[in-house]
Amino acid sequence: MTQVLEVSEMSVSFPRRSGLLGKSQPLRVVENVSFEVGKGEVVALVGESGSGKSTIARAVLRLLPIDNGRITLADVDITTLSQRALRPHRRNAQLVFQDPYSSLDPSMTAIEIVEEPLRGFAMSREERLRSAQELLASVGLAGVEGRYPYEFSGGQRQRIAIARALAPRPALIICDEPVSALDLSTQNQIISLLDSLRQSLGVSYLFISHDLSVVRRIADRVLVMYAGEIVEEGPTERVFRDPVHPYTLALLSAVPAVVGDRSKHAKRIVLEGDLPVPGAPPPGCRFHTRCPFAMDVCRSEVPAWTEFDHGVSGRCHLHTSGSTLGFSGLTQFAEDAMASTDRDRGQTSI
Amino acid sequence: MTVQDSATTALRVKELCVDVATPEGWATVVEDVSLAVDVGEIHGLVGESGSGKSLTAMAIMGLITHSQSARVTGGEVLLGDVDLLKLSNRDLRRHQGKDLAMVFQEPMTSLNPAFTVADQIGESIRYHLGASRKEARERSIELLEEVGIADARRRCNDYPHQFSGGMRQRVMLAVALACEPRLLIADEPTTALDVTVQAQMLELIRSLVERHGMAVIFITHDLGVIAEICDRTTVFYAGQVIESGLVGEVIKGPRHPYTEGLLRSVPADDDLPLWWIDGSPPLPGQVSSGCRFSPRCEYSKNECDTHAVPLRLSADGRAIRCALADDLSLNGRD
Amino acid sequence: MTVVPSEGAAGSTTGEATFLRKRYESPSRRFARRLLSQKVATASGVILILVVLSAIFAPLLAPLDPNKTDLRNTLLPPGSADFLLGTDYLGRDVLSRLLFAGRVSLVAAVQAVSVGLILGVAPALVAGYVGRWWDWLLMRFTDALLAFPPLILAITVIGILGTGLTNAMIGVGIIFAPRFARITRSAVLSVREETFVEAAKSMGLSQPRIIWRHVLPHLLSPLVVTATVLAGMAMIIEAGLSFIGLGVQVPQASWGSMLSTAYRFIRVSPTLILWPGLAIMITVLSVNLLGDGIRDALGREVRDMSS
Ligand SMILES: Nc1ncnc2c1ncn2[C@@H]1O[C@H](COP(=O)(O)OP(=O)(O)OP(=O)(O)O)[C@@H](O)[C@H]1O
Ligand SMILES: Nc1ncnc2c1ncn2[C@@H]1O[C@H](COP(=O)(O)OP(=O)(O)OP(=O)(O)O)[C@@H](O)[C@H]1O
Ligand SMILES: [Mg+2]
Ligand SMILES: [Mg+2]
Repeated sequence: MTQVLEVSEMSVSFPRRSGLLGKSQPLRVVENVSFEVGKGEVVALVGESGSGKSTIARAVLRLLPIDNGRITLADVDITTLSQRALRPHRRNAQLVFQDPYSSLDPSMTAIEIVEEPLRGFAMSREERLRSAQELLASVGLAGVEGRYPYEFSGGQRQRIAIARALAPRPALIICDEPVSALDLSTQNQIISLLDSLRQSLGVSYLFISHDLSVVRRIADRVLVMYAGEIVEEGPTERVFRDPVHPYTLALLSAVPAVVGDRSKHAKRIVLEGDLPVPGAPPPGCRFHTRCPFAMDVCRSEVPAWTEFDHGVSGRCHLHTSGSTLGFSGLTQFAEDAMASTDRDRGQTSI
Repeated sequence: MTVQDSATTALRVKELCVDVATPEGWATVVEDVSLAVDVGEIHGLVGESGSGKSLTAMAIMGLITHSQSARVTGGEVLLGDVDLLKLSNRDLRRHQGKDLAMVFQEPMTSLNPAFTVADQIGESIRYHLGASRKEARERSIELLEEVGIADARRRCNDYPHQFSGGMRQRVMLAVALACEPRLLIADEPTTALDVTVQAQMLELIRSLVERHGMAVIFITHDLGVIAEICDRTTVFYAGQVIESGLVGEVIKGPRHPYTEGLLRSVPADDDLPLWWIDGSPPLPGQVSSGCRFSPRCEYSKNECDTHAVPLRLSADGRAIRCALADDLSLNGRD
Repeated sequence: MTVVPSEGAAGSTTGEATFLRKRYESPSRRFARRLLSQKVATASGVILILVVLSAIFAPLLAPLDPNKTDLRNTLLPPGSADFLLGTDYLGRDVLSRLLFAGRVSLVAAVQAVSVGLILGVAPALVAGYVGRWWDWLLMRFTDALLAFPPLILAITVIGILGTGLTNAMIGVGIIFAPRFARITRSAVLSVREETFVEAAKSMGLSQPRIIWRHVLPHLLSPLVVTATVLAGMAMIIEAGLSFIGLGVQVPQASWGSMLSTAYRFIRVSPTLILWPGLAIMITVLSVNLLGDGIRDALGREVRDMSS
């Protein structure tokens, strides 16, 4: 058995009341997602803001109730364990929360925060503090162990949160936007730290990020989410080269180039049309309201999950409904289409 | 170089200093920072984590005067002709939210968990513009739509914790833009956003700049974003300005080794190993007397460690704090 | 500058013990530093310590037996020979009585507040954290208790337990409990939603540890403030109860009972009312000011001062 985390057909909803006295009707924000993370594997979860990535992270760790589905963590089915029975297993998976401001207890010092998850271990207080101090040093925070969270900048807090997640040596770390608050130099340091842990200890990561250049560097596989659903899955290189889903394509086209390659801007796909409303997806393909290639079938039929020859799976009618568009064709088609619409609008690159 | 007479300068910060409390006493973390932002200009602040960007922003907003753990120890913040640091709290409040507004780096702690987002966006519209409750609500919904929140009419009754990280950030932006401020300070406003949504937000900010001549201080660590929307940029290191100039010039031809290092950290080719500036920046109270970057600088000479380096203005409008600047030829990106 | 990823920890070799002492200011040290930096709070603390010390050492400090009557020297004005603050209507030395009464009053306030804390905080902590029907039950119960007029409730308790100061103060504590419960509950409800509590849960910490280390510290400041306000109130209620004979029993005195007897002789000896009144006022005031100081010293300092 080599999977650290297996999630199958998981759905999550939030209760939502309509009106003051209205009945509570659940709002389903994650729908039937399935994926697994292998030992030592880095799986990236990318997707639009509000598509349900953080919800998946919290639900997988049973911090949120799930509607249906099955979660297996390090070979233990934790779906129905009681919170008490779950406690010993929690050490196996740690979460770096998206918001480093509210996820650190303001009444504890940096070193206490990092030392806390070590409490269950057979270590003396001295040993725990020393190991917490080493962890803080490894994220570039030596010498400020006794300070409180409010004394740190945003990026520094994020690093405390990362050190805390590393402390109990988990098999899986779920990182919710772990480096997005960091400058590139620090980002690179942290990423290579995470990477070296994977190599030396075989830690796996579920890496939630919207930064595709980071994802491309460290992820073995990518999951793309749109409006609560996984719409594409495959090995990073292949997904980046031949995306199946037009949404992935739009994501890939929108990365701002630092310098030089300004020609990229000309190809940016600007998504238009109605945004998905959480819990009330449009009929048919959820992306059809904004898809530049939408066909009639997309408005009525839900595309089936299909595995394609190049190892990428996804949901899109374009490739299955007799359209002539191939995978590389999609990229090419998009480039041409965008180039021509840009010309029409007289839009130029900056 | 742009002409900087006061008619076109929206904000001028002169020699701002901020101290914070550490267990060993007060330590200066923002030192002699000067900035000028023109009307209709987007000015990017970059720098490593902990270099003092947020504290500078908060000092400009007049938010540090109330804190026990940080204090402004000198300088001027001129918005037009008014020195914001000299205003009473009451006068300051009249400007905050209306003439100058801020998107905070921490969305959750700066939104009030006890009020719906419509209340929070509408609050400043009602306070500053005297709008009725109903008008404020309609305007809030409009703003939420502008920042790309689907189903805004219904979602405006939700509380902050019901939004995702990126949505909260956009709600913050809506709060800040509510009264169409003359100066917007955006502290990492797009960190939680994916590229497509980020592009929309940048577009929104840019359109306000073009339409109303809003001036923007844009704090980010993403050099891509800087290159994309900023006109000028100021690079921070350990609480000091170490370089500033037009974005294109700084990126193509950095003149400070630290800027060069930052640019080099941008992955160029996926096959090259990741690169970073070795070591870490000094933390408050740990700075040395000479050039602060010297311990990490590959060009460092002996003299760098002993003499404090002044910020020098060069003829072309660039400012550089490096004793060796004239002798080095550094690589930029293009 | 290097291109090679450096291996994990920098591994400082300087003695960890010195690091612990030098850089790691313990929470209590930090608290003390922040408290002492506030002048008003420090002064109040000093005054309070003096008051407590004088109560503890009353037998040593008191010039005379507080209960010894001397009918030849009744209602003497302050400054009389042997009686620094004068005597009361039975000729007892006011200074000595004041010192001994301080013991009674302080103990009474502590008793009432502790009973209130014990009865109020623990259930509310559980109710707020666990929620559901526990919470519902607690809230209905506190509503019911708050609906009773306080004095009636205290008298009922005394009726059940019998007269005596301690019983009276248990009664007062029961009156206080719902107030503590409400404050605790509302604080717990807001802390419970914080991400750091979720983070603690995700680390696999036990419920008691989460409550103890992550929830309770954030309740301290509202509780300290409430406790100090109620401590002052306890002394005043105690005076009322003693006045109608349900509190301290003669010949013992409390500041409250001294106040109420002095009131009867206000025309003959107006200064008599001054001493217990001043004692109560100074004590209550310094307790409250110290409470504010403690709150500020405990309070989390936040980065963002936007509100
Ligand atoms: N506690 C909650 N109550 C109600 N709705 C919620 C709650 N938390 C999240 N949601 C909704 O669920 C949806 C998914 O949120 P989630 O936080 O998972 O998004 P995300 O993919 O992490 O986005 P981002 O990249 O912006 O962080 C959003 O529409 C959000 O508004
Ligand atoms: N209230 C405070 N008390 C003590 N130290 C503080 C306080 N606020 C900030 N600091 C310190 O001041 C320095 C500058 O902080 P600031 O938040 O301005 O950094 P930043 O440039 O915004 O970094 P980031 O990109 O990580 O957000 C940091 O080293 C931080 O630890
Ligand atoms: Mg999220
Ligand atoms: Mg910051």
